[in-house]
Amino acid sequence: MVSAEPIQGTSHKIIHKLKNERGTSRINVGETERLISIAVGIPMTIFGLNREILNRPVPILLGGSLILRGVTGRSFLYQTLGVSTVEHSPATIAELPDNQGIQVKRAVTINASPEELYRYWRDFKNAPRFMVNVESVQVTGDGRSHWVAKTPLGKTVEWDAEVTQDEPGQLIAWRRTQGPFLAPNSGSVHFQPKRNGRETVVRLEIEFHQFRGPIGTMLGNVFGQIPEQVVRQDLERFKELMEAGEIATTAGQPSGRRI
Amino acid sequence: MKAVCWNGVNDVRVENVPDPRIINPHDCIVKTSLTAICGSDLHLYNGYIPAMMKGDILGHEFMGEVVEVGPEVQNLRIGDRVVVPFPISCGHCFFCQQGFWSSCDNTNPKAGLMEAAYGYSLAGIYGYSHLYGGYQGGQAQYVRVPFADVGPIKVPENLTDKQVLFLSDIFSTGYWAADSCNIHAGDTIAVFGCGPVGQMAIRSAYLLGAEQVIALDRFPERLKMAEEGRAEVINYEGIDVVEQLKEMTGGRGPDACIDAVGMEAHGTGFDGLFDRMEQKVRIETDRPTALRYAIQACRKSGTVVAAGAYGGFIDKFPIGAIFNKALTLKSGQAPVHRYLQPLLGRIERGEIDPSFVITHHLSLDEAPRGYEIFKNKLEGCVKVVMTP
Repeated sequence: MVSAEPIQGTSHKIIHKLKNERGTSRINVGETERLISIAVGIPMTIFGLNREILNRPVPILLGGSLILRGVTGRSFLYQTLGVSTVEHSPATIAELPDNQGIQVKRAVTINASPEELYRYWRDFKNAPRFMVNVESVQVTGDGRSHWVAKTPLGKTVEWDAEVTQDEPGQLIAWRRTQGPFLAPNSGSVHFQPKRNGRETVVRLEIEFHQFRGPIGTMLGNVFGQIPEQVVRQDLERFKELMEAGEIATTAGQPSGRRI
Repeated sequence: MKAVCWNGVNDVRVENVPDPRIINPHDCIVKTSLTAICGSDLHLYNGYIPAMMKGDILGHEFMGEVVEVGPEVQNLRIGDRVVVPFPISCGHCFFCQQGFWSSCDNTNPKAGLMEAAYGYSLAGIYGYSHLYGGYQGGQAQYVRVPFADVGPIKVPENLTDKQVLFLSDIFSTGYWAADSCNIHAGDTIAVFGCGPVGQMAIRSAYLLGAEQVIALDRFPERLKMAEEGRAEVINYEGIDVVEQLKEMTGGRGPDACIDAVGMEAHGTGFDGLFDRMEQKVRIETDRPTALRYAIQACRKSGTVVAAGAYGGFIDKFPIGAIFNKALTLKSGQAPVHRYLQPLLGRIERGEIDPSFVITHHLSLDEAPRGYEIFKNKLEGCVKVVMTP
């Protein structure tokens, strides 16, 4: 089944556009620092507004700029100084235009053939074995499937997906057709053989309707969807399963910790 | 079962904990017959390796009897007597297949932590912090051993536990350090630090054909042990180490230098003081006093091997000496699996008996005392082994 719309091409365009848009003004404030900026900025602004506005311009301006800095994640001072306090991210993240969310990308090299890896991934019933949050997948036929994932609060999220592009041994792309906005919106996985004839580069791209930054992180912590962590862990576990035949864990081992 | 648990800096306790069980299909359970305290365990004891949690079971040098095997284990049977290498390796990834076993891609369940710290994740290690996966360690009566077909090596009955235990780490690590020197006939190897790994490196350098091994330390019992391994020794206190080494090598300098000290060097001169001060105020996390000497002393176009463990950042690193002398710098957690079979062969043929290094044989219950005397080099302590 091949989709009419080349998803890969679209995402390349998006990245290109993003580069142009963000060339002069990049997120350069780390997430913890953004939260602190907001936490300090709000009471400072309130303090300023409690008095007659013109008498207290300093706390209002300072508080307001702190809130702005926290919300946007962009600091003019940092930009001028060439400083960034953005933490290490385990994947490449791009913001989609028009507040459509984010795209998370990561690649991994696996010691197996593209065909073998494609076969395992394409059988979506295998997904709960390596996708961290996915609990079950029901394949309903005609490229459609029903996904159930858990959240840390013990609740589950369910959605339907359909395959939009399927090239055996090379590419699978899918999109969500129904379900809450917290579920992945769309995604693709590419299998590209390395020249050495043994290994395969697996590239995973997933788009989430979620915002980057402190609000996204807070939401993520609640719903278990810190997208870059999900993408990193899913790929890491897929590799472990395909190469080593099991997923490394210490869950269930003894320790001297008292519960 | 009884296990040695980390409870904070300078605080290990023997506690009763649940027995380990098979979790993954390639696991086995080993009933420990002999275990040891490694010099690198002291970095955990002293609090210099991050990501430790109260209650973590320590130890990565252990051996024993296989008492349970997972459903997919093929090479081991219940009753086999095995020594377990300290890195946990899958055997199938790019790195394992190239022989870089300690760089395995697939055995660190906390890969994200390691990736944030070092850019990429490394193999898990038994009882060596959550950075290295948070695995249960070997200073316990029973240990869960993942990838049982890949790591553990069966050992013949005619060799004692004490003879083969150190294949798990210090003998393999010392031998790997010497092997990394790429020794040619006539070479001089300088070994900085005569702790357990240094002692193994001295003897390994001779096994690999070195003509002269010079060993540096300041504790008489350690220098004496090095001399027994045919090393020429230097007590580095109060002397110019580089000039002394030059003198002893006909002016050329050692062909290769091994730093068998690592992040907690105890230099007694100005440099030592300087590094202690910088570490206190967090300008650096590790004290590279020995490594700096090794780099300074090494001959032009020679090799420096960092075999002692480092964890974080150092200051005043002499990159100018490395660059201009065209030195080769080698480092890493030893790829132990590569050396198990060849070194077992050397022990069987009587070329070396690594048990020479043991100065204290305690019971597992005495672990807190073991850490104490090993750390403070009391009672002439060089190496502690423990019977659970």
